[in-house]
Amino acid sequence: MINFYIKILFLLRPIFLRLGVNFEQLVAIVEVKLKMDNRRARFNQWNKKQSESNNTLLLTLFLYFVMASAFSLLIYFSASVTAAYSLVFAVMMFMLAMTLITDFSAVILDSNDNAVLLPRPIDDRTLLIARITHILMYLLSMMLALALPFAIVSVIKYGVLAAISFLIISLLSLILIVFLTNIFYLVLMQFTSEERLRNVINTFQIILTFIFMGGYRLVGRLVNMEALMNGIDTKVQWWHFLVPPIWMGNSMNVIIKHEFDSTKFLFLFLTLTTPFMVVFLVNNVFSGVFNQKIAGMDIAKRQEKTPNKVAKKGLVETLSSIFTGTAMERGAFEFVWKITSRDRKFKLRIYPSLAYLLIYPVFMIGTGRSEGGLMQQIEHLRESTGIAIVVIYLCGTILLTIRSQISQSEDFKAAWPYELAPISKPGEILSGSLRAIMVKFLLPITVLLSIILSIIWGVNLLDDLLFGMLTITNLDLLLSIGMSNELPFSTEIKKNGGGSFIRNMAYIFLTGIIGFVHYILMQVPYVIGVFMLIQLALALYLFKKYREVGWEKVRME
Amino acid sequence: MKAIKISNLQKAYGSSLVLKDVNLEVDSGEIIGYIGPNGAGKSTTIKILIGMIPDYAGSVEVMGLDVKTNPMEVKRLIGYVPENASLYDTLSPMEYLRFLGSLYQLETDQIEEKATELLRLFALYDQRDDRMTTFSKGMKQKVLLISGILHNPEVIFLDEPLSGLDANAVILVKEILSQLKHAGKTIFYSSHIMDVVEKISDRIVLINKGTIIANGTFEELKSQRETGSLEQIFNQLTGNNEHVQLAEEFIQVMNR
Repeated sequence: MINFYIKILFLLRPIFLRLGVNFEQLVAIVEVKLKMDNRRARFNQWNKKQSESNNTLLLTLFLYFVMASAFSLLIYFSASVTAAYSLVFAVMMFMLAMTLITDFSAVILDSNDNAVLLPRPIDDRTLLIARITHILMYLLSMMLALALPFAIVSVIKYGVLAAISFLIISLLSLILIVFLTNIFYLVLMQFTSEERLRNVINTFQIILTFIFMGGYRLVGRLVNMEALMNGIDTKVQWWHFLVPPIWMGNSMNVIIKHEFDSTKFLFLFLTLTTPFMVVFLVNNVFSGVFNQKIAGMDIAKRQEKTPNKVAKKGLVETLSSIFTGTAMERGAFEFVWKITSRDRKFKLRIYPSLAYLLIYPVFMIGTGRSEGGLMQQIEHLRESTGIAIVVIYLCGTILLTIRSQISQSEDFKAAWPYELAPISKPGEILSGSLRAIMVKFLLPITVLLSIILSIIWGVNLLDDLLFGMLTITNLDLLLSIGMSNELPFSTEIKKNGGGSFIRNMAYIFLTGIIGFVHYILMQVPYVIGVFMLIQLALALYLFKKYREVGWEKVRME
Repeated sequence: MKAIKISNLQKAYGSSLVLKDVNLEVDSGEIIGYIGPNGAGKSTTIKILIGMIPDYAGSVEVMGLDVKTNPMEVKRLIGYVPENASLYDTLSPMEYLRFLGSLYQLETDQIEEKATELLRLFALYDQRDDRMTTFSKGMKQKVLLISGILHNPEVIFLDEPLSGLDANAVILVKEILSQLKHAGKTIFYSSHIMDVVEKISDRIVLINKGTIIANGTFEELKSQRETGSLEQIFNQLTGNNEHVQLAEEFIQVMNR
């Protein structure tokens, strides 16, 4: 696979030379980075087992291919070329941008290789382009996996020329996205001081991820469904010029339908030129600044002006003394609470999906009926308590989301004291960690939900809420006591969820069933109230049991 | 009672025998300099002694307790600072020490009081509530050293404890080690810096290829050999004596 990538690089040699890059150095850097990625992935996935192919990547690519294949029917059945292709480009660019933001920002902003690369005679431009090329290689494979089904359908429906144009424009959109992301970071770097850069970027990543998640759902509404099916193209609006997928959709229209007018031509012009303009900008204006800034990020200097002070004693210590029993539990509680507030990677993994999980019910409630005012909608909602149950269990899955991430950390190598200290029952650490997560994340959400539920459905659903949250907690406890556990922040970050997949599936499946049973039970008065008390007793018992979990149920790396 | 007693210790990874029949006794209050070339089995010995590797052959006792059968008691009695250890640097020194202290089930107040004092002694008092992300290697090493002795262990294992420390801190650590010895603590000191080992150790144990090949005071080792420094003795016992020729070849290749 690596050889294939390198061959592609050699094909593109003239372009690189044109950019003023030292090609031999670039190939060397990219090759070694690809090799390292390959080994890291293999180590994670197959647990030290030697295997030559990078199966993780291939599997992801295959999934993309299948997904795109299903989606490509859209092009076949849609009468409007512009709308269909705009949507396709939007989806593809969304997928790539998400991958770029969540997985590869780390690669762009990688300062680990500074020690190796910066003292060598490599110029800024070569280093920056090498970093970008490394990412492009991955994105290119993803892009191809996504674009091929669309290209095939394009051949069938509109002929070979359309398919080739589609692939070329896809490539341009990829370049556009990668370099735009770069410019975004670079501009950000101009406005923030170096020591705060990573924090600021992290916040932006979280916001961006959230916007993309929401935007993805909105794409369907932006593109008029009627136009899509009947071929009536919507009028060009001024903001269409701000949305690259729409330029590209219009360009496809020009190519397929041969409709030339000044606006269409402008779209085609934008499609063809902006990617190159962006490359030019990054290559000539920003490359020097970028590496300087990245180099600056790592210098371990103490900032006299803004020392990163932490509160001496406060809320966390008080909470830990209320919610925990033993010393070790208390230590783990404070540890998990603090790291989850500070670990940027953790925040990036958790907060977007958390925010989304909270917004999702609003979407759900909002999309049901659109006629009538707010009060009328609430009236409607009151009749369907089923939605309330879905909302409760949906919010409850936040526990699952966080629990699956809590063991992972960039600093997993710092977990050595777990093995050194006289810990006879690691369950105490696990239970302290779970308590921290519950108090920090589940409790506020439950309080918030109880207010919302009370407003819409009245206080009689509060026992359902408590029952739901307790059930999810108990489910988590049962699975944790029964299956293998990992101590907080002790394992390497896994890209694709990794080993907890089966556990997660079991969890989601069981949550669904329980929610359904809950809905049936609540038809009988008082039953939920009684069951809630039983669940409460069970929770107290299980927490005690969880504390007793021994080393045989704990997996260390 | 011996602080450390290793008899007929063997450890294999797969088919390769890393430790072949190691025997060693250490008295309480001794500073042992544990040296040997890379890959000789130093870290493996230490990891077995502190209970991190439970599957080995032979018998290993710390403070009279068998490591295999009483791992928790042993772990409570020992302190360890690994070489180039990582720590959770988004925490402040105080928070990190609080967490580690809680793993040893120490009282919170006691941890805080001790940690504050120890940080002050290491000139980290003003930074005790700063996140360690901006700390230099030496500052982190000081925090690690404190984390290794916070629970007042009887036997302390140190692996390259001076790495990254500035000259002042080195002098301080050396002095602390000798004070610890006077307080009756046993120190198991592993390092590649021979002149430090030569100066601070009561006894030097040299391991090579999984066996102990020398064990005695510096004077004893010196009397067996003609040469002067520990470095030279080390080289005689473990290396090939062709270093001059090797260095010459090195320069030749470089100049090609």
